[in-house]
Amino acid sequence: MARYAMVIDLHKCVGCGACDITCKNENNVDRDIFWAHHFTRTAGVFPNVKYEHVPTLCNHCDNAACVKACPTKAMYKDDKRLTLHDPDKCIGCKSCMQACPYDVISFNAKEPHGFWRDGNPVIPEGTASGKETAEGLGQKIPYYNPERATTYAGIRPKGIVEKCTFCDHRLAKGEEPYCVFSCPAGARTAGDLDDPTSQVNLLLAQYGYKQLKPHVGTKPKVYYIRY
Amino acid sequence: MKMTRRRFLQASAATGLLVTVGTGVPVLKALAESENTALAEGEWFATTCQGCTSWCSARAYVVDGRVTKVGGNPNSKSNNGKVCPRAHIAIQQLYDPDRVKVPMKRTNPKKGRNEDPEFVPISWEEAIDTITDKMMELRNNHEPEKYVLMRGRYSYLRDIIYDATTKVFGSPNGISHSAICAEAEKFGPYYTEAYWDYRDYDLDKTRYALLWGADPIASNRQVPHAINIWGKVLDQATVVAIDPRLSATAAKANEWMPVIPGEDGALATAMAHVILTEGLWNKEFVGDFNDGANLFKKGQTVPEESFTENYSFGIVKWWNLELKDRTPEWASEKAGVPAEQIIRVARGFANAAPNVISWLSPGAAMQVRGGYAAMAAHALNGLVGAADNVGGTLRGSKVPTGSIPSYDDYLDETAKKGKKNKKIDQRGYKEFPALNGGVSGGGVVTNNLADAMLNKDPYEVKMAIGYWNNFPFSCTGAQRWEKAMEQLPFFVHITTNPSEMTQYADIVLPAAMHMFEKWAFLKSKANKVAYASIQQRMVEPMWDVRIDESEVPWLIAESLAKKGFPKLFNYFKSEFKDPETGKTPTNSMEFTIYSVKMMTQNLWDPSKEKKGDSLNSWQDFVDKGVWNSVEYPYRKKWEDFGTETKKFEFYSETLKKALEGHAEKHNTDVDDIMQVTKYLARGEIAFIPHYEEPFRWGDSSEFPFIFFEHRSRLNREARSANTLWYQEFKDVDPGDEAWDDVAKINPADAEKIGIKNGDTIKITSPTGNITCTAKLWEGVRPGTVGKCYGQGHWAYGKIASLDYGKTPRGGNNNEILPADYERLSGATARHGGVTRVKIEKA
Amino acid sequence: MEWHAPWDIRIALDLFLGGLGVGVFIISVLLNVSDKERNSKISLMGSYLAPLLVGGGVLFLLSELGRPERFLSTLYNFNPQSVTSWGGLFQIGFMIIALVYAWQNFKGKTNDSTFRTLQGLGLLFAILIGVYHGLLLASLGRPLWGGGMIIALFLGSSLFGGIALLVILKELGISIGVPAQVRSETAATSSNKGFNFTVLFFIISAVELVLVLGWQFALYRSGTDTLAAVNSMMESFGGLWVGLVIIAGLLIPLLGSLFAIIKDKNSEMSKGLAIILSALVIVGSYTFKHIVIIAGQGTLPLIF
Repeated sequence: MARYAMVIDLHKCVGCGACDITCKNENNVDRDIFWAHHFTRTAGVFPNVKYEHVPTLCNHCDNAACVKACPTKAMYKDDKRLTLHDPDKCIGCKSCMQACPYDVISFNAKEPHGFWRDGNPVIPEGTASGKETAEGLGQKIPYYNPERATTYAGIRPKGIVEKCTFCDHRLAKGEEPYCVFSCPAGARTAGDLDDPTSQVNLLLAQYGYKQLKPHVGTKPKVYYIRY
Repeated sequence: MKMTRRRFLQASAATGLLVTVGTGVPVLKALAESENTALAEGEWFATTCQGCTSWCSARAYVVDGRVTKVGGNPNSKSNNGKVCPRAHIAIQQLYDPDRVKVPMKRTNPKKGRNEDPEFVPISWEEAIDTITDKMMELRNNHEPEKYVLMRGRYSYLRDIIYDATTKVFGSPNGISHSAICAEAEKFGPYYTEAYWDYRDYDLDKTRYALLWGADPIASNRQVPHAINIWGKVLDQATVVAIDPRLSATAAKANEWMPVIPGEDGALATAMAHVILTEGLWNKEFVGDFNDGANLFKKGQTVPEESFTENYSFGIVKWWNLELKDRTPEWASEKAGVPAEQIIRVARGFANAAPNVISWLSPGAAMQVRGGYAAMAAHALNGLVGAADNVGGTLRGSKVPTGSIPSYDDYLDETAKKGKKNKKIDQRGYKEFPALNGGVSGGGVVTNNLADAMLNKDPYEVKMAIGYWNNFPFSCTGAQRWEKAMEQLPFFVHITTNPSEMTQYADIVLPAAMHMFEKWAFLKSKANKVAYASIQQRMVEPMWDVRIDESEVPWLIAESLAKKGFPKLFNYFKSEFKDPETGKTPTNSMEFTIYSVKMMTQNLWDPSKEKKGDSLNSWQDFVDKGVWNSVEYPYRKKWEDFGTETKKFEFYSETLKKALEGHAEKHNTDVDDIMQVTKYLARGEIAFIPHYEEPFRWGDSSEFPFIFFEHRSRLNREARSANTLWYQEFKDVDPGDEAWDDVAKINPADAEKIGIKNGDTIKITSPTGNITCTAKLWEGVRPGTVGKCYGQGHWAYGKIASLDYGKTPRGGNNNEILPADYERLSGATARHGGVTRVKIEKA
Repeated sequence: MEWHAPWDIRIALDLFLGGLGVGVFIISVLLNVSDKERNSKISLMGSYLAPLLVGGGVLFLLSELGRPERFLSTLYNFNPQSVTSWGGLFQIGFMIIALVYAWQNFKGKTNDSTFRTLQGLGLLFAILIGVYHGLLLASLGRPLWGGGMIIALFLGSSLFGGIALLVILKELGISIGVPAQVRSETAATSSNKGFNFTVLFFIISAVELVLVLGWQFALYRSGTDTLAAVNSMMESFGGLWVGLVIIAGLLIPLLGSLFAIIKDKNSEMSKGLAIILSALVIVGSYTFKHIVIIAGQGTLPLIF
């Protein structure tokens, strides 16, 4: 069985945010919820200033704190060693969010995509509204991606958490995670750590790597190279 | 339902129009099923992204008549099938909840920022009828020139509405937005190597990239290609970013030169000085001293006859007139950058030559006195032999598209007389040379249109149609535009969103969104390949929209014909034919598609010779979405650059001729022209790249900070601020914050004036003030304050503005930037620290 | 965007009320066992109160869950690695035991072996819940909640709160649902011997104070994450922490009970003092739990 990991080449990454945006697009993610995100750091004093942009996502930890914390096994490791979430088992206790050292799990406190249920036009009869647009297309969000629903709730309902699934629905079709696919810099590589010839292993061997918060013992599987 | 493009075309032929008429009821409701039904198979359709002027060939995935995803077009050789984040945001523009869904008319006759236009929906018939009534009135009064077409962003169908419709109607006034965009940048390469266009850059083979305010991994030009290749560029080349701000590219560069805004010319001339004094110029391109000994010594003039040039002209004149005193130490004082850094960069650049790029951007050019800085920065390419060379700056290959058919036979007497009037924007006036193509008044002075309208000089404007533009937001001195639009008697806005400009409209026409609902084509270049790229209607529009550049003029022409002026309609019906069937159009959509087919026929018709992709049919072009040229051949222009001397000009005979021509037209001399265009140069200095002291509005005692603005990597030319993804990820612009509009202030400056991070502040310039949030950031030069363009909408929609029609989200830079110009090109001077500001807690 | 803690006041109330409940239960069983004669009424009150408090806490917990109707799935989807899972089990178990125990008390069946078994089991589950509260936080790996001391702190705070609540009931003489024979028994005994709340007060406030200060001191001496967390806590809640948790909730009860003991080591503190000190203890206990729970959720910068 595979052990999926991602390598992010920070030398190639230009911090454009395409991963953040396309992740929301692919996975029908509501506003204020982020499966893929980033942190930035500005260090130094003018004119010797260093600016870093580091993309983040679920680390699909080998020793996942969220899986341990979940009281109902809703958060689990699958046969590809991905950390996945079963929306039908989740009780919305948010223990996983507390346990995750990377803040990559989000809770649906509200019925999602309320933006597309707002029926107030800025010009009555003249402009559309979120509600009219979404309803006109028969979807909860106009650009709803139905492929997402093949392995996870297409849109996660109110009361449960949600997180990155490494695009398991795309992996199932032999496709890369969408952030990898849509990165214009080619900075992301997904692959199997158990396969010694995989691109991820070659990159890790060639460049060495860093992980986020390795000291907390979660064994994260998002590796940053060429930082 | 799977919608193939053939079925689309059949549908269009059968029904005439692809949209429902009148009701605004979305047509797709019946087709769409509830969420999570059986997985529908989608299909990719090629299109073109116009989020910036890179104009990338892209594609979009359509499922059940909905666009669900966007990506790069894998058939494109210029962007490697990649798109930058902008393209994805286009989906939220397509499905923007605040889109105008039906034609509307104004019911509140009072116009103004705080006046609710009280728009009410009307039918297309009523809307067009109202417009053509006004147009007929002008023709009947023999004043068709008082009609103005204000063009914004465009496709290559533009000439239908911008040129033909305007001229056949009888007005000279097709006014483009070009001069608020980049004309001063084009001035640099034009008056050195006779190329009035954006350049291409051979990033693949470059060894040194000197970026003059350019931020290619974030904003125009060729962004996806730059992003894609940046890792390689950093591996093989040295990158130097000259910018008062730690831009996205500066953050990924080898060196950051945080220049004082507007002082780029000092750096460029000093680098040229170093290159010459150290004997580092390219001997093959520029030539050498006859006896081989370098006579370029600091402060010393050189006899012209001692040097023999090859492909360049005027190197010694340039030295004697300007460069001999432009030492790095002198430039260091001016530009606020250490002399050692200037020397190091100049040497590095010259040593890596000729595979180097001096990459000029609007930042270093669109300054009041920026024309000569643009020349100086571009001249460095000539100095080291990088112009048109391997790893250097390039032109584009030819994309052999056609133009619209001639309309000369359709001009009646009124039209012929009307279009002979001066253009309304005062181009070619003594103080507005606008020397595009070497001709006085050859270019547009877009932003001056507001003053021309207010002053009724050269004459009054009685009606205007604007499309895909938003001048009261996008032009500096925005308040002037508000006034000009207030007094304009009749204005028609063709738009997707109810923008600031729409607030002044009498008739609002809902436009098709360019990327997914329009038929058109674009041309651009990147990665040594020039290309034409399609835009196609891949989903049926939800709203009652028309294509701005083709369908609307068709409807106008049809209506004018009914009212006794059939010339335009006859022109459309007779001259535009389907090149495959020879059929003439019977409706606006056929007219649109035939236009695209005609103008792109050379590309897709296998019988036509061309240097590039072989396509076998129109459908093949639509399917592939792009025609790529062959790679641009290096050194193509070395034998004849097309300048007056045929050489790469360091002493611009071409500019001399243009300036003297303009002076002659106004019975004066070039010194006087320099004077009225705010330049300090006198005598021959006016013909060479040289340093000019920056011109700034505001006194440093009252306005202590130099204000500069920059672009966002998520801006779709200020049209994306009404999308969630733009706001949620605004912090991908270094120093910026999500959901906010920040002014970036150096912490040392902020401490002096008692401003804390996150404070709401008021920024005041001599011409206006705005409110936004303070961001304390080390990535901005002390003494300057930097702010991104794009936020500050007081209309456009619910996200872009905090309270639509009333309260903006943040502040629009154009309300504090005074309306000023780089007058030689006609460009709006929005960069180079054109104004000083003060900052107070709000 | 403003930051919101995933767990809001309802989790603080769950841990507070649950803690108070098990504290009351433990003390009331201890009273029943050690000094049944004199404290039977108060012990009885405690047996009623315990399931009410724990149940109330569970209600707050349920209201915090996104899917409260799935709460029982923690039993059949039980995850042995999850402290939250164990917590569900303990709370359900305790509720059943405590309710039966209260019923037995109400019916006056306090002498059979069932009663003793219930006392034993209840005591076990009460302690498990008391431990679970701190263990839950400790298991989540957040810097402020790290280290084992948090377990002792929460357990101590729960016990102290339970004592305080019983003292208030005792001093106010509240008695509801007391069987007739108990009422008479109580009237018959009123000596000063036996169980002494004041001493307990003194001891436990001293222990808890040492624990709290020791915990805070340890945090300040830990790694950067932890230091950042405690600094952030003190920045947001410093006043409440010092004022309500340390001074009002621990120091004043410590000094008050000490004062009473010095005055007369054999008798309880005066009614007024007892009520005031107990109220302070309860307020302090809640504030302590609230601050630790909310502040512990603060986001921390990601680092390589």
